[in-house]
Amino acid sequence: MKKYFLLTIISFLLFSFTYGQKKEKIIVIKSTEHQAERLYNDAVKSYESKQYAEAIDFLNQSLKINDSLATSYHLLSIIQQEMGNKQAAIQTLQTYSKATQHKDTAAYMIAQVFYGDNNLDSASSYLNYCISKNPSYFNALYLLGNINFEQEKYNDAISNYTKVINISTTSADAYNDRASAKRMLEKYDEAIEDYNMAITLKKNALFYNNRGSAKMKLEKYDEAIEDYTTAILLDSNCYQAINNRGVAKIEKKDYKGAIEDFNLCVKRKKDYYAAINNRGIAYYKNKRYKEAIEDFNFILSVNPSEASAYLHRGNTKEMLRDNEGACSDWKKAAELGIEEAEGYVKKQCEKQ
Amino acid sequence: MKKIISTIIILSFYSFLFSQNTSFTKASFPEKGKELKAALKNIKKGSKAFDKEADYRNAAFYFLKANEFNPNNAELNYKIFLCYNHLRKKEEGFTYLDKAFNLDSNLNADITFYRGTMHQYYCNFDTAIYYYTIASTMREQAAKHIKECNTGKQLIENEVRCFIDNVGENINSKADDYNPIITADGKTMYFTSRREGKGIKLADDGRYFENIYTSTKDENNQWTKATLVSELNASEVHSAVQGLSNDGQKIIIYRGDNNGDLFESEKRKGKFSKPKSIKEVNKNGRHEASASYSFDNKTLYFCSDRKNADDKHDIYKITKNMKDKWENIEILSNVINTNEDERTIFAHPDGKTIYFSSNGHDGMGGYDIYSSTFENGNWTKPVNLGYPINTPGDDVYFVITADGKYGYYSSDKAGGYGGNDIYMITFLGPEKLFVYNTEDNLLANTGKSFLHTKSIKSIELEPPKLTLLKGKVIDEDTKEPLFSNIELYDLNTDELLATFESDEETGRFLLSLPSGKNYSVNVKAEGYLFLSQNFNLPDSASYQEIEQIIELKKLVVGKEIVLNNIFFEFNKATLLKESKIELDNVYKLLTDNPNIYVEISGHTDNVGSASYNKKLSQERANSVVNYLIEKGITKDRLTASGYGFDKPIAPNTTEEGRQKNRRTEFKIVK
Repeated sequence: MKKYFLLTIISFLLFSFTYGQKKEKIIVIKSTEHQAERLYNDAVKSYESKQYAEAIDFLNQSLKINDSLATSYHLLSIIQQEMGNKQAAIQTLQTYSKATQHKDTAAYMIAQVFYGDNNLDSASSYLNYCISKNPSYFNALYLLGNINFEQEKYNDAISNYTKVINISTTSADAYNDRASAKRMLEKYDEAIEDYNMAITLKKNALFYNNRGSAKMKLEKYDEAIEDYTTAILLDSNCYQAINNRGVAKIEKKDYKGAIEDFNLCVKRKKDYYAAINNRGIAYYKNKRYKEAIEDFNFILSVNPSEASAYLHRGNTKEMLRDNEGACSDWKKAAELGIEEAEGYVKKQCEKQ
Repeated sequence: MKKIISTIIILSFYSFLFSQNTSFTKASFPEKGKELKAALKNIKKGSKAFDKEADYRNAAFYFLKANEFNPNNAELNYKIFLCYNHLRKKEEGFTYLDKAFNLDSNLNADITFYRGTMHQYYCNFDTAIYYYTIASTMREQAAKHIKECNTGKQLIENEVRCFIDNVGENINSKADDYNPIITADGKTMYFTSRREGKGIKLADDGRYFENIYTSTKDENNQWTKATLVSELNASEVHSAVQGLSNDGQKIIIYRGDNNGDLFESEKRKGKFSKPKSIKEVNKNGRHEASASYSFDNKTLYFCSDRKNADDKHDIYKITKNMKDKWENIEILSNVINTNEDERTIFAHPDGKTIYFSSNGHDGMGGYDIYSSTFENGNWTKPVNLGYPINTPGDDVYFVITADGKYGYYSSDKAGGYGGNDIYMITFLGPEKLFVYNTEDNLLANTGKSFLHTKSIKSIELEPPKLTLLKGKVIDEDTKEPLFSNIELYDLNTDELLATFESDEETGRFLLSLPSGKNYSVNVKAEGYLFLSQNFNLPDSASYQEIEQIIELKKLVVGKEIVLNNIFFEFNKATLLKESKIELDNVYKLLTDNPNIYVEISGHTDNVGSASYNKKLSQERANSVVNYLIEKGITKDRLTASGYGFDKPIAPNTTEEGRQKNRRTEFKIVK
């Protein structure tokens, strides 16, 4: 029994270590010795064949026999979430929390459910509880860092990512994420140092893209283009890097090169309106006003309340000497909240 | 650079295949002895004109004749280029330079340098820099040109947003049309043209003499057909317009006499008077050209080569003294003037900005146009107006409207009506806002992307800070236009800033009031009551145009006027010092017309009780009467009345209306 229990715990800890980073994994317990575990394994089979009711039945039976079997609670909560009953999932995990000594793990699992439900405050509370029980709980620290980031509490995020890095100095992802938090605080040089570290640990398209974007903020356009290019070489489908490189090329006044990038980007992701917007701007800069209008028209055909597309189309019509059209678009952009457009209307459209 | 060199080598090789340097010898033309002899004669005549007489126009004439016979002689092509270069007809010359270079790239040591100038002219700055770098002669000039090329690259990268349009056939002709000068409101233009016309004679260069033309904008804002301003032109001498007062009532022209002098003329009954030499400005034997009045016509800026032995011009200014005479010539500081040539000047109606052309500042080649403002007693560092207003060619004679929205200049760019044409620049202001969309997956494992927008905003340049006051002075009863004097005072200093006149024929006037002063504008005409207005324009007052019809009242019993520039302390009858000019105007009117008797009345708005307001208005009227008595007007000619708010001239429901009602009036009672 002791041996079996140990195996279960190890399996669960392994599971929870990766939990929160990737798609959830269901662990099959390699034992036929005990009925609770057998029932759990039956539940896994039913879950995999989407027989949720049957799986729940197996799990309830399993928990009746062993009310502290962590994997059963976990699988039950996953099924409940997938069935859209998050409240039930949380109740399941709270029951587990009462039954187990591993309060940190239980709290982390509850935080996961809240995070999945975008209830970041509750998730944070459970993570803090988890960390109070186990200050070295890697995944809890990491998830809390991410939540801090999403809540724009970048200093807190940096603090938690630093704790993660202290636990695992080779975590390239944590370096990347800490860099991103620093970037959001406009500490671009520090951010680049962390991105450098992430890249040293792992050649990853995302890291190169992010470092390129930090360099963009420092107006180091050539270096940014270099990073975006590496990102694209590592992952030819990294459409964000292609789009971002196009913007960097606009900054370098390489409008033809920018247009080529935006075309490539749209080829990779057809409905990527950001690239179509940017391409319209590049056409404008290249004095290809009619093509610019086509792009802005397209964006407006998809989203008739896209304020910036009205602004951009108005700007382009001005260059085509269609003052009436420009004014009409600037008025619409102003109505949709673009303050500058209001200024253009006052200055250029209202008779003095 | 490697790319440039290989392109040049390929082009040279290519052109070598198609032509080779052909000498003017019997060996080259064994069958054409007679034609060869004639060609050699033309070369001899051209060389004489070129070397001994520096008559490049004539030299080009003979060289071109010889070139018709043999277009493949490197030396001759090069000489033709030099003629055009001296005549500042660069584009025409470069065709021959290119030919000479292709026939013999080692023709002489200078050709490499000139090759650089050609590429610079066509904005091929990298290629130009290459030639300047390898040029073995004119090293000092080459270094200057390299600097210009680098500036040119920067200016082209940051192109000024504007439209440049030919002003059209109503103004431009197939001959050269240039030197556009406009009134401050941009409604009237004077310019110089070398077009054919009745009675216009040919000058020595085989083209018609320079003459001055004018055009005005019609109700659709289109330029009307230009007409000759015959009274400003003289036969057998060049007459070119140089400067114009903001209201178009005074003009400065250039006449080719005495090595180039400036003349001034004023409009009377729709016609300009006979131009008079501005003796205080013109220096014997020196060249004076381009001039511009300041906003108050009290300062005249002009260009002259009086100080330099090498014909290089500087910008000077001369001011009017108390007797309305020009005196005190001063050269502008070396912030503006360089060791090179400052050729044209335009003073903006804002009273502090000048636009001038120079080939000595940080330009992109030839003359460029710069602006500078007078701040805290100094001229600011000149700012290049940028491409495409400036080009590597000569950019001169630039003027800009008072609102800063339109400029005019002349250019011989392709696509015009012939020769130099006049173009209008519509300034579009700084780049409009654009919002770029970028996206990053900032966090490694969440799969969440973060969208960013990046807004590119330009810094909005401040428009000129001035008020353009324009309109018409008419008789209140007959509505006929009136000739009047318009005095402009600074109420804070009591200084008479300027005097203007309304047009004798149309009654029209135009004044530029730079922001930063409390102005009194007094309109006076003989036999009429004066009319005063107050324009308190703080430094921050932005550009505005005010159009007014000013109706003057005849000096007869029963007529009354509002004295707009009489001010009292708040809720008191104590006159403020800013009232002095207005009170003195009233005093002068009474002394000039000793038989009239007047009532001075005080009026208030309806804030406060009737009795309080009546008392206050009576006391204020008494203050004005007492001032006039103290100045010497007899007591019996003056009556002081306080009406409180009994006689409003505007509704008391708005602040604007109440302000109008708080007033002092002057009425002829006998």
